[in-house]
Amino acid sequence: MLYGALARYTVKQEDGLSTDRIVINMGPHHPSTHGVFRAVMTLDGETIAGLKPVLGYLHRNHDKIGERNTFLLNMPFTDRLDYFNSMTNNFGYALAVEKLMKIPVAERAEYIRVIVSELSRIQNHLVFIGTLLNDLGAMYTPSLYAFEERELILDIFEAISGARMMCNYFRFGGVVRDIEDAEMQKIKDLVYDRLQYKTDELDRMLTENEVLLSRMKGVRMINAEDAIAYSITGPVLRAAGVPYDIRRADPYGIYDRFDFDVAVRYNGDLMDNYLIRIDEIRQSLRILDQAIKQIPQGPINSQKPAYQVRVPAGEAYGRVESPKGELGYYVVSNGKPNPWRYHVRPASFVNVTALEKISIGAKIADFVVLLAMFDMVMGECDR
Amino acid sequence: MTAPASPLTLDLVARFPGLVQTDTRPGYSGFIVEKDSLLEVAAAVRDELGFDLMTAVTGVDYPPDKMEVVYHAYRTTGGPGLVFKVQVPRVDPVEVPSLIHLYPGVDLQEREAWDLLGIKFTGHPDLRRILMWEGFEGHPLRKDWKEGFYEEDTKPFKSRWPQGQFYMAEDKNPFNDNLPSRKTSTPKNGSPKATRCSTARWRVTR
Repeated sequence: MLYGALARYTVKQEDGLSTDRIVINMGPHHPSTHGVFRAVMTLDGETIAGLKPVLGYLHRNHDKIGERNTFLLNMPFTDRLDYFNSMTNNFGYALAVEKLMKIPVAERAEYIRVIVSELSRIQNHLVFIGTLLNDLGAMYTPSLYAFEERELILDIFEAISGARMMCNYFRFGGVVRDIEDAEMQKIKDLVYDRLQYKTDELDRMLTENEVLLSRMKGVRMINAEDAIAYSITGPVLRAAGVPYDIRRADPYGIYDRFDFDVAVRYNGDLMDNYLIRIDEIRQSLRILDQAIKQIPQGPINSQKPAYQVRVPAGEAYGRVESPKGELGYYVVSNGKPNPWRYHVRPASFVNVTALEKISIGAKIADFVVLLAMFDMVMGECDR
Repeated sequence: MTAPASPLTLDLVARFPGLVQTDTRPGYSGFIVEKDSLLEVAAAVRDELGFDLMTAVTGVDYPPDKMEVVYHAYRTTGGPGLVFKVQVPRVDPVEVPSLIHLYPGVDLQEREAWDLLGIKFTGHPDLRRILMWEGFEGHPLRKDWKEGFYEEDTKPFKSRWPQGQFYMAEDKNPFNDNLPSRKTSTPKNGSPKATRCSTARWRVTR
């Protein structure tokens, strides 16, 4: 059935000559596919004539397990979706359940949430730049520069939550642990004395690089109309010229209090998709600067800590601007301790919808970079 | 045909009398659309109301009688979203018209809903399984589908404390500070905060 979907591409009639096109499988194990992702494509010479993504190699039916779990048990489980950004994963789920429970969030916890989310966004974009350069053939050196900064952010996550990646940090109504003064000092040191200069350094080192320019500048990704039609969200949509950022478009938490620009680029080529990540790191640093200055003292949770939360019947859709795009949680409760329906709308999965549209007509060598631009994480995509 | 729906009031009920109802279940919001007029309503949502970004499409199983497909649409210019739902009887084949020609972005999500819930989107050109493998039997997210080694519908499973004996995980935590309410005493062998390192090494000389 899969190859049947590609069959219309296999033979080409041109000047009475019939030309076979080659069907190749890229993946599921390919260094550039960032996990077990498989793309079946038909090639006309070096040009991609047809493509079907094949997903599900990492599928574990997250939604079904989520229905079995109690509401609180799902919180650490969301860490495992996009394992680079457990903080933003927690954020979306906490928002959805808080909407259902109709509880407020403690003031200090709101700021802590913003701080950890933006730190998470920075380290995600750093990893993105590192792995992008890996895909372009600059093996390891640029990514090690990026990973150096990422480690420092993960050190902070470890200090405040106890875990580097699977943070399990948010609770309904707040967060689980306070950021104490010493950790806050670490964050300040990192934000004011290091990250902005390191971002400039990365920018200086890579952006004018001739190899990068020749591989990425002017290589078409997607235009604005198609990006919207194909439900793309996140940096890829903004690089196509649509200034749509949920932090601004439909603010959640306390993002409406901060002064920042929605990073947007208008060419929609690969270079813009790369540059927008650096823009977003700078905007995140602006938000962090304000959040660190404004954070009040006070309780970190509006509720009493409890194993079993009481969630009234109803439905809620909580969505956040995760570093990869819109991350939404659709939670239905029927008043029992477990959710009736727990659906994750991951950014990676929905963005892949447009992969076929983007890739047809592109060169196979560019496909690796096109795929990298989605910044896919298969843990989130396959769930 | 009535006048186009106003983008300000979002009153789909007045625009499509008899075909759209407000979802009145407690705790729910949005509109319930008749299955046969889904394409018409979705076209109005996109073109008249301006909800051009269809972000989430998913299904919910409400046994024994119905299944529901939930659509979340947003505007790229910002603002809150619009939720509309289609309810169909829970008898195979569960069929809902596909929105793929209005919103191409629903492609993979409709395939996912077909795969996991068995909702057939008529008009979808390539409705194959996507997350489960080809040849898998059943639709796992249906409430009557049970996995292998099924124990109970909800955790925590009774088998995890056979004689009613269980212990809390943080009772084994040497610092005993996992939950503030259960904190009993300060740990004997020193707090982990004692080993904090200096932050001086992070500073960049410039």
